[in-house]
Amino acid sequence: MASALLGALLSLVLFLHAGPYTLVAFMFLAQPLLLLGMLLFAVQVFKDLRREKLL
Amino acid sequence: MIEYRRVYKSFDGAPRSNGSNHAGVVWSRAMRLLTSLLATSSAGAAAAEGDIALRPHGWVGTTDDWARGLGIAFVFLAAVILVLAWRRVRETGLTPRIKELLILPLVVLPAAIVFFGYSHGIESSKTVESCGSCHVMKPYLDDLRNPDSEALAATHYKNRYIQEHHCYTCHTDYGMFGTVHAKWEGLGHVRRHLTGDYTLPIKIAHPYPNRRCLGCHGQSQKFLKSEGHPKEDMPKLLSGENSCIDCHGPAHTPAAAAQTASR
Repeated sequence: MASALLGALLSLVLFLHAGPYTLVAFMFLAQPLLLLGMLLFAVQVFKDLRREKLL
Repeated sequence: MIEYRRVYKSFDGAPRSNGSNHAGVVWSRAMRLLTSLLATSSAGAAAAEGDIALRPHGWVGTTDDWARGLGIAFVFLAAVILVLAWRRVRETGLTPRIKELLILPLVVLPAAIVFFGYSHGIESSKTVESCGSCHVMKPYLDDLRNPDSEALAATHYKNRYIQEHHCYTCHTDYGMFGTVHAKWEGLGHVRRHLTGDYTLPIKIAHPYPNRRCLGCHGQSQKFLKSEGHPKEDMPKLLSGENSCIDCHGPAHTPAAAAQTASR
């Protein structure tokens, strides 16, 4: 959740002030952070499904 | 600000809905609010480009304005839901209800944010301001905007031969891979600027290809029928053996702009 929040806030910087540095920060920091949040959430869901013996 | 007033006025002048029609009034007010918000953001972009063009009646912003607006809205929505979910998790732990709620800010909204982020970021990176945001480019920008400059780029700029994205239009090959290549080189420019890995005066990395000029001028009668472009020289021009810049240059005169500025 913290990763996704940080990623979203970094993306906000790009939306408020678009420039080469903010675009690079968005591409190489915000995007991986958002992806990390998504992956960790997917892992948690996967674990739950395994625990419930649905997978 | 001028832009904002003009757009707002033009929308204000639209025929209002009947007062008895409540839904119509609400819709009209909502549209006015949305339009003025978009106008404010597009006014910033227009002012940044030095553009004071009047917008058409009923202007609701460009695709980029909408991408920016929606991106900001989705970031706020994701942040609010994440903060609320965080507080609930601290109180009750990670319940199935919270997990369901988290699908939105952790899966759906990030995908939308990335989409609109690229949409807005790539579009914004084409502006003159974006190219000029590195201090080494300032003399080039000054030259470009100098109405007294006779450089090729300044001539195109002051006569509005190119409507917008003046640097990008001339420094990018045509087609999708032209854009991809330009963005890739742009990343290299950011790296060099951050690490200081460049020497002054900066020079163009590769010889300027004629196809960028010919993309606009190639089919024009002024080019085809000009005495300066005899038919026997066409193969040399098309193959790049003769450069357009050789006769029509210099493309930029940053040193002259710096002298003008120091006077």
